Amino acid sequence: MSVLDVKDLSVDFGHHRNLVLDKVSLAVDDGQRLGLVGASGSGKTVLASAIMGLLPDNAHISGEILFRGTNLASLGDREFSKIRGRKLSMVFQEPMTALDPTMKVGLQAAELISLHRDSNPMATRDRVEQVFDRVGLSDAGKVTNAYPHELSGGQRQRVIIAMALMNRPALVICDEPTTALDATVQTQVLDVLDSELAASGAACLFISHDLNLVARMCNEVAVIHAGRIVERGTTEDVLNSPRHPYTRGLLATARIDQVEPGERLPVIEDFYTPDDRDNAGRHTELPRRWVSQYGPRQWRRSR
Amino acid sequence: MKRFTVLFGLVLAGIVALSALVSLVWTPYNPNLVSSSRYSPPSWTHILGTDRLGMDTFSRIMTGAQTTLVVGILAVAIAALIGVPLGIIAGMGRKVAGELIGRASDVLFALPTLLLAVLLAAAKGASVTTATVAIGIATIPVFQRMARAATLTIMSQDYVLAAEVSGTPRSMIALRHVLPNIAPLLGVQAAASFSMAILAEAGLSYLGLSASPTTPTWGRMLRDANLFAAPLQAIIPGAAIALAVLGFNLLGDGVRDYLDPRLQEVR
Amino acid sequence: MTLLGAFARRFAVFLGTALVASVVIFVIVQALPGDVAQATLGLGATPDAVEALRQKWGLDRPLLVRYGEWLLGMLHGDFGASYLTGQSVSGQIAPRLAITGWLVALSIPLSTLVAVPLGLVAAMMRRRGLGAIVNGASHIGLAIPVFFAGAVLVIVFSVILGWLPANSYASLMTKGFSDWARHMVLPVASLVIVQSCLLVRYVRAGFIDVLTEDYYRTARSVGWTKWAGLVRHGLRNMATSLVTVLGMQTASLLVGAILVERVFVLPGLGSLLIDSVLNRDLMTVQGVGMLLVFAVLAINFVVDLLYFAIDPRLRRQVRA
Repeated sequence: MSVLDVKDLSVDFGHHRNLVLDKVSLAVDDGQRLGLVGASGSGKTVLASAIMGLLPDNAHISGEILFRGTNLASLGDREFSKIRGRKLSMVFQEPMTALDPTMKVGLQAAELISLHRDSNPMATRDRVEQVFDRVGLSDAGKVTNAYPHELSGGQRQRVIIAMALMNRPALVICDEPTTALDATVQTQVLDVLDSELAASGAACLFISHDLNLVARMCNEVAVIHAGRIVERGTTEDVLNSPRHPYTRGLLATARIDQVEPGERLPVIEDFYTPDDRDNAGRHTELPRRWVSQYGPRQWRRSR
Repeated sequence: MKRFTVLFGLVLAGIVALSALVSLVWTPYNPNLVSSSRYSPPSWTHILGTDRLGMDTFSRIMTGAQTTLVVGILAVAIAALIGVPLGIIAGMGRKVAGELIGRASDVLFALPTLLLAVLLAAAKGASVTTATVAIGIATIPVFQRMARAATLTIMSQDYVLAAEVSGTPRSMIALRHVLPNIAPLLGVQAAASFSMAILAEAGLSYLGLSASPTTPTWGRMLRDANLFAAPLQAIIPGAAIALAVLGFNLLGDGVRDYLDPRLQEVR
Repeated sequence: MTLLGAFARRFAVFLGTALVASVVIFVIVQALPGDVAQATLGLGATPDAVEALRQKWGLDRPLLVRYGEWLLGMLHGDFGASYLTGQSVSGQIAPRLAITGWLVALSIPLSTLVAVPLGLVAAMMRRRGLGAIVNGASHIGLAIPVFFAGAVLVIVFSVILGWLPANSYASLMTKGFSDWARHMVLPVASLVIVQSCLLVRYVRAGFIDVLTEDYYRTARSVGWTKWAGLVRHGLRNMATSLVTVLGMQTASLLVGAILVERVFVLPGLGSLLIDSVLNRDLMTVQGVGMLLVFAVLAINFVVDLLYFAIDPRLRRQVRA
């Protein structure tokens, strides 16, 4: 049974109606973790915002976003707000700016509970501290009394993850949750996210441009390119035997450590057949080994 | 929509400028000609009626545009000519100079335009000159602060650094690099300050602290109007002030968008 | 630096600026070329008569001495005596202080109360009709001089409808609240109309900024509706810019109060100031002027302190 079922979702913006998502269909099963991979501008974040109902006013949307059978795309702001933060939640990319600078983080987290159900202040505070504790915020009592600017980036992101998990949602959308963090902190935060998602049993749509992260976090992966889902399968299959040329290019370009000094860097277009290529012949020829290597079967899961 | 508002501003400002120019050579009546038809309502002989002394309101409104424009232009000129050099010095010069200018500017900023005009009028007698000088001086801090901020930004640019390293005198840098680069901002500020100056002059005229009674000004016309006997004679000059200020405000917004698209109100 | 230290520093700046301002005022009024005694007596006066008057008013003594006396006097609440009438300036100021004080004290909170909801609507509905109407109206209101707004209110509510009085004042002490209130409605309304048009523009811009902030998106994602989220998480953030504008506007609000006193013939500080200018009563001009500047500076000082209450980040900067 799928918790989220996106059907033929198209989104465009403004007077010129620039198409950003083109008939995207995507389903996430209960408790499943689906990775969504794509370059910047491919429509990842727009898809996440569309599911959360947080697109700007000038967006036009068509198609269905079924969340446990309810079409989110047809909900008004008031009804949608009852679902957001309770059954459906989101972890954002920028921990530095995602929290209200003028409010203590404990209060911001407590709002999640008081917004969605009646709860006495004591119980609310206990729950907040409990979840803060679980996401590895040591000395949770002190953190609740801190303003965002008094916390580090890693701590803030833990707060945001705690907020996303606060009401035991059915689906958590993570949009590049660790991109803005230092490499060491990144690992810790991912560990927390990994274990807490597993513990709560929530499904997760994990959006990233980083294949390593997706390989590590997700059992299935979908590849989005220019507003379309071009490929979907188990992580193993997609990473080891990519079918779509875009995916092949994505995999190859992720391995710049294999470029010899003086050699040209591979770009995505190198992996398109001449038919796919709009601007064929613009590039110099890529050394043959790239193409043969990043044909099938060379991707190792790097854990 | 944007284009329409700028056009509207241009029309309003144009009308003000045109009446001022035309009134130099022609008005329907002598604006100070007293007649026996007091408080007459608008008619073919007096398009906007007459005031308590039977003077033709339309002629006085036309003539009033002169004072409005002259005071506005001169006050902004005084403020810019003094404020901009001070701002550039504060932004480029020694730290002490900058601090001193900044503090002086703070003090001046705390003196409301009207109070400065009142003090000057008390010492030297009320006249258009004291009003203009007071408005000009009170506007200096605005230009000083803006010029200083803009100068600081430009002074941190690489090309200025290069000029400094190659031994270009500071005065040369100020003239060649700083001034041309802050010119668009100055234009925007001048446009904004111009309508503020018009408002300030109208207020001073209203209080009797600007032109002498024989010079028709919009503020004084409103002051002299009897709200009970002939409310229209108050509404006409009041509307003239409001429309002129609105016109120059809209025009100023247009100038801002044209000169520096980055300053546009985004979204 | 401690929080207390930061306050102390700001207080020192406030007092220093006030001191410099007093010098500026004194210099403009007393030291600019032009002789008051001569001006008072007219050009036909004999040199002896002028000299006698100068001695009588103490104008023959050095400027520095006169400034020192004036400053020391003010510290005791003594603003000197009018050259013309010999009346004490403080005695003239005292009964008028309340009127100007009420005008300013009422119009600041009232215009904020009007401007914040309107700015909220203008920001949230900025792409729709209602937002455009609020925005356009504030643009027009910004161009209206406060005395014209007052005149229109008099014409509508006093002349045409006859509901409210104009050209008179009823003291709160002697005439009671309702009579006083009836006399204050129109003057305060004129100030509020003009002031709130300006504030709306800043409130709108502030809320529009909030709408693009990540924390607003977070607030929405946890279940706040568009409007409730903007109020809950935007108001406080917008308030910093609002407070800045309020501080910057105190000077022009005082000026507005002076003009409004003239429209409604209220015997406040503004009327005293203007009358004494027209009579060239220098001591009174000097004293009232200083009081007004002091008020502007004091309000700005309070505004500075308000920042600390609103923005926790500032509190930390100070501690660090």
